[in-house]
Formats: sequence, structure tokens, C-alpha cells
Amino acid sequence: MQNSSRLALYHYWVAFAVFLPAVVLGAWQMLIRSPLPAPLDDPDAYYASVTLHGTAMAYVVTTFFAMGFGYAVTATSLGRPVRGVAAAWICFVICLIGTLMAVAAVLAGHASVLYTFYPPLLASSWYYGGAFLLIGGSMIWVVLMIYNMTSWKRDNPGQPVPLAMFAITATAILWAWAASGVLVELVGILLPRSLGLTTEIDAGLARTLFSVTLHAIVYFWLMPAYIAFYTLLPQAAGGRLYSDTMGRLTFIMFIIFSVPVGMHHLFADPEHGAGMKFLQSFLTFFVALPTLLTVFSICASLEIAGRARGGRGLLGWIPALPWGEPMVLATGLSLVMLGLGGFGGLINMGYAMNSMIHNTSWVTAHFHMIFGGAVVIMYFAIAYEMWPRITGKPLQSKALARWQLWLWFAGMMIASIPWHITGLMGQPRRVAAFDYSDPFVARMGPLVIISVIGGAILLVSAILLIVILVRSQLGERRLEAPLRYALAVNPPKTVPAALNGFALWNAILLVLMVFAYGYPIGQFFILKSKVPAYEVSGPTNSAGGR
Amino acid sequence: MATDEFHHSAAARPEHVAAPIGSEEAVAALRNGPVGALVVASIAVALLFLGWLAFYFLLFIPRGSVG
Amino acid sequence: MAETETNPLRRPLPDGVVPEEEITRTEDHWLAIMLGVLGVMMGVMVVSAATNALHPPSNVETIDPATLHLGGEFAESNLGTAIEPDGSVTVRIIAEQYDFIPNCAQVPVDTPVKFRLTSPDVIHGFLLPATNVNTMVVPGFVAEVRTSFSRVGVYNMPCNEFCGNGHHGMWARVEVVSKERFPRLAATERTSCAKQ
Repeated sequence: MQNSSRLALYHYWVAFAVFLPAVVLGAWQMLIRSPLPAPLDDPDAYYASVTLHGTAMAYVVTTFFAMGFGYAVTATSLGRPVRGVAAAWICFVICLIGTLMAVAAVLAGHASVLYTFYPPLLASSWYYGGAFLLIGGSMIWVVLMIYNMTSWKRDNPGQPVPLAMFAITATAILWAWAASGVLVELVGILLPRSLGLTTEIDAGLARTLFSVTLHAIVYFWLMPAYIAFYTLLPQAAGGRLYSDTMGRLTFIMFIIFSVPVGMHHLFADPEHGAGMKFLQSFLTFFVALPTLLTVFSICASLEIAGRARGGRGLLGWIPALPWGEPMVLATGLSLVMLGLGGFGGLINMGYAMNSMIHNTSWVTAHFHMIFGGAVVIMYFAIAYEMWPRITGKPLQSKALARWQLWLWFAGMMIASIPWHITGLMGQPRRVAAFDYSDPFVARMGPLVIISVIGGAILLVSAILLIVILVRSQLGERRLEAPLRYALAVNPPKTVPAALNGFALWNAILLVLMVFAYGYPIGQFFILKSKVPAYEVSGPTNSAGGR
Repeated sequence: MATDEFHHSAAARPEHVAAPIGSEEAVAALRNGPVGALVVASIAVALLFLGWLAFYFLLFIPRGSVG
Repeated sequence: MAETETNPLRRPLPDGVVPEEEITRTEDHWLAIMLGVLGVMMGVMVVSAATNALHPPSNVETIDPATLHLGGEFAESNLGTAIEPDGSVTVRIIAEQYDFIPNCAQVPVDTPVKFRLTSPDVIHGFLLPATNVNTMVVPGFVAEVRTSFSRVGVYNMPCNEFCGNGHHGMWARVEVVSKERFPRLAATERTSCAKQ
């Protein structure tokens, strides 16, 4: 188990070591765009920072965390060391090199294209190459998850795969599907152009390929949090998981419903017609389903725990829960933010209703609430469960961990609720500086300042997180209790093959992808829409000539 | 002090779970299924649904046609 | 450690505190209710799309960005607001790093307006806060948005997609004036409120 533990720990440390400076950048960005005075007030620095913050949070922190979590889950849920450790370390190195390349390119000012890098804006090949190594390299992890699950099934014929392993393998498969869009975009469009192998690019095709990734990736981020909900939380609360079957179905639904819906990020785009947009909006409604089902299942699991602890009456189980446990507290806070963030998501996917908020601050507020809030707070809770098990050194203070979680929740609510409002007022996003003397912008000033305060609280919370983890790393006492996954109310003796493997669901997803993306991507081979690229390198962009 | 004890999941130490109450009470309370969870989840979904309708008819449609 | 001395498998709850059939039934009921909620939302969207003309702007039309200024629909003399034979107006705007041309568009109130935009360089955004006018302007394509303004006034028009390091300076305006104040234009005349 030692090798698997070290593997997981190194991945977690890269994730959190990148996380803290990324939060610093985020807090600085919020200050710069506010009416308040701020240091280093330079738009070029701002756009580089947004690129770095986005790249770090969206690609680096999440991928390394998921990979580390995957190795930890594999070893602990299957009860044996991870197989393919050598390949796992190679994957780690490749991803790390990719990260360093991309970060260096952004810091050098050659890649201020934001983490969505929409061409015709063109960054340096070092950025695209770095992104390719990071995202492409993580496909090794995907293969390892699938390999470990299938080899366990071969060694344990007829047994249900432990839910945590089933779920992390689902996560890996989803990531492979999701990443396909951006990998094709990098290899097929961006790298050739940035290396000078082609002279023109198709901006519409690039955006469409990226949209395959852009929505599905948020479920790649979210699934570790849901794994915690289903397999760690009920145990931490002292109860049982209400339904193992619902857990499996949830992760299956995420696979098939979160990938063929990416075009709802393109509702405002002129390269697709209303028919395809409507189809993808219709499919997007289904991806709300696993979350709506999970909310009930998790509440039911918590109710079981609360009643076992003596909670009486209709809602008496709630105060009876062990809120002192970081995992339980984090879940409660996460569910609040999931509700608000999910609400925002229901607005965004509403076909024409998207026009009300597309590319306004509402969108930024939405994904900070749901990803930065609901999902990342569960990453913290997972870290607090994992660190003691891996290092053998317990958290030195559960109270401090609870403080850190509350601060993150408060900071995120204070930062993103006003942000939603400025979005409705029409504040455009990705803007380095606002003219607060303009009455239209001035109205938003107080709300922006409140968000800055939220950002500062988040920074304190992020620092506290690192302090807690470092103290745990350097502590001395030894802990032997292994990680215990939750038991279901009725632990399954067997499950149908469809709930124990992914062949059927991959096939269904393939059909859905052809249906939902076949024409939108295929049309670009007929449309004549290639255009020149515009490089972002250099001290300033030249303004368009007229 | 409870806050500085070893950190591990609540269920790892049996005495942290409210064993004195016993599982019979839990089974009895759950005789009709997780009613409390249904209430909480229903309220949450109802708020989402009503909020979505409010946004749709009070914010979105008044902003005018688009196409 | 304490838990390895006592039975580590001691569970406070035995298996089956709720029978599996009941769990399945409850989950199925919840699923049915959730599908119903989603179905109603879907229905609202479909019906209002039809009755209120609410669609995301979805005109698919390609154009060559390199020759925009040379002639054709987006030549400089054709930009701005034009009156169509049926009384509606068409506004043609170019979005480029880092300004809109014209950077002030004038339209009459309570009149069908069609905005047509394209870009000679990178992706920009076209947003009119307090309305539902919101579209991406992608080079190689003509973006078209149709609406009608019911209030007179000045609407801000920020670029809402990152278009380079001057993105924050790219703001324009739409002025909605009463029908009396809107100039009568000949078929080839164009108007705007951009300062010369």
C-alpha cells in the first residue's frame, strides 16, 4: 500500500501547492477590477493572471486532485495496491512537465488567451503543448483506473465492484470523453497553427470542439465530490448509504448526459442553428437529473444517521448529526452552494433564457459558486479524510478544519452572490478595468466591493487549508484506522452487469454524441469559415486597423 | 478536549455513535421511509422550481424578444 | 488503537433498516416527480419560444473577414442603421480590436430591429444589458440578432467576450429614439450616432 499512498500524496500536494497561488491571483483580480485602489494595476498583468488562475484551477488543481484521489480510492476500496504504479509515475511526470510549460508561457506574457483559449486569438506553442501534455498525459490515469477495475473484476468474478471504485472509474471514463474535444482542438487546430504548419484556422470549429470539453469537464470536477457524498459521508455521519443502486445510476447518468450537451455553451454563437441548440438544451435537462436524485439520496442517508443518533421528529435528525466532523459540515455547506449554483445552471441552460446572462458576470459567479464552492469544499473534506490515512499523521485540530470550511463557505457566498447580481445588471466578464465614473458602471461598484471582501475571506481560508495540511504532514502521532467506506442500507450481494461495468453506457454515449454533435462538427467540413489567427505575444496587441 | 483528539470518521469509534439509543429506535423512526429527507429535498426542489419560474416570467420575458 | 481492540466491524445499524423494495419505490417516486418538474420547465421554454419569439440568435451565415472593408454588405458606407421596405430597420456593425464601428447605433422605438455583426479579427461579444440581445461575433460568420425595443433611452453596449488586452476599453452605445426623432432615410442612406 505504501507506493499507492505516496502516489496519491504527491498528486494531492501538486494540486494544493498550485491551488494557493491561484487563489492569491483570484483575490488580486477581484481587487483590480473593483473601484478600490490596487497594486500592479496593469491590464496585461490582469489578463495573464486570469489565464493563469483559470488554467491552474480548471486544469491543474482538478486533474491532479482527481488522479490522486483515484489512486487512493483504488487502493483503499479494492484493498490491494494500485496496479501499474510505474505508468502512474510516468503520467505524473508528464502532467507536471505540461503544467510547468503552460505556466511558464503565461508568466512570460505569451499566452494571455484565458483557459478557454478561443482562437483566432493565438498563444505560444509552449502553452498549447503544456496543456496537451497535462490533459493528454492524464489519459494514462484513465487507462489505469479502467485496468485496475477490470482486473479486480476478473479476480473477483460475480462480485459487485465497490461503489467508490465504480464511481472513480466512471469519472475517468467521463474525463476521457470530455477531454477528447480539447485534445482534438489542440492537436488538430491550435498546435499546427502556432507551430506555423497551417495558415488559417476555423474559429467556429475550434469553439465547437472545445464545447465538448467545456461542460463535461465540470462533471469530471464534480464527481469526486459526489463520490464523497455517496461513499465517505454516510460513514462519517455514523449511518448508512440509502441506496447503492442510486449511487451507481448517478455516475452512469453523468457519463451519458454530461458530454452530449456542451453546445449550451454556444447558445449565443452564430455558427449553429436553433434546431441543434434546442436539441442540446433538451438533453441538458437530463443532466440535472442525477443531481436532483443525489440530493434526495444523500438527505435520506443523513436522516438514517441522524435517527440512529437519537434524532426525533420530522427534522430532529438534522441537529443530531455529528456536525463536528469536517466531512459532515462540508457536506452541509456544499449542499447549500449546490442549490444556489444549480439554480444558476438551470437558468443558463434554458435555451433563450441564456441570452439574459451569457458572458456576463452571472456566468463567472455561477461557476465559482458551484465549482469553487460546492465542489472544492468537498475536495477539502476529502483531503482531511485522506491525509491522516496516507501520512499516518492525524489532523492536529478538527476545530481549525471546521473554521477553514466555514470561512470558505462565507467567502464564496459573499463573493459570488453580488456577482450574480452585477451579471443581471449586464456587467461583461473578463474585463480588466471598469470606468466607475460612468453611471451605468457606478451602480455596480458597491456590489463589486462586497465581492472583493468575499475574495479576501477565501484567501484566508485557502492559507488556513495549507497550514492545516502542512501541520498534518509534519505532525508526529500515528494513526492506524484505515479508511472506511460507507455501507449501504442493503449492501448488494450482486448487481446486474449494466451497473457493474461501462460497456453499455459507452455505446449509448457514442450514439448520443453522433446524434448531438455529428452535424454541428460535420458542417465545418462544408462551411467555408477559416480565418487568420491573431497572436497575443508581445507587450501590447495592436488595435485593429481602420 | 474534543476538538484536539485524533481525527477520524465518527463511525470509526463506536462510542461516538449514539449507540445508547439503539438501532430499534432508528428502525421505528424510519418505518415510513425517510420522510424528513423527503421534506427537505422537496422544499429545496420547490424553491429551485419556483425561483426558475420567477426568473423566467419576471426577469427574462420582460427584457424583450430575441431571435 | 482502541478500534482494533473492540470489534472494528461493529455497526450501529444492522443491514436492512429500510427494506430494499421500499427504497426502490421511494427513489422511483422521487424520480417521477423530478422528471415532472423538468418536464414543466421544458414545456414553459417551448411554449414561450413559440409565442414570444424567444430563441437564441442562430443565423448561420459565413463571410470572408479579410475582404470586409473592400465592399459588400459590411463596407464602411453600408454600416449603421438602414430602413427596410417593410418599415423594420437593420443595423450593421463591425466589431474589431478594440471598438465597434459605428460605436453608437441609433434605432427607433417599437420597431423590429435586426442587428447584423461580424468581425475582421477575433471573437467579440455583443451585449445590450437590460435586454435579451446577446450574441457572439465570430470572424468568418455573420451574427444576426432580432429584437424590438419598447423603451426610449441609451443602452450600453460592452464587448462581452475576451478579445485581447484592450478588451476592457471596448464599449459602445445604442440610442433608442422615438419614431418621430428617427430620421427618414432613403434606401441607400445609413445613420448612426457615432461622433465623427
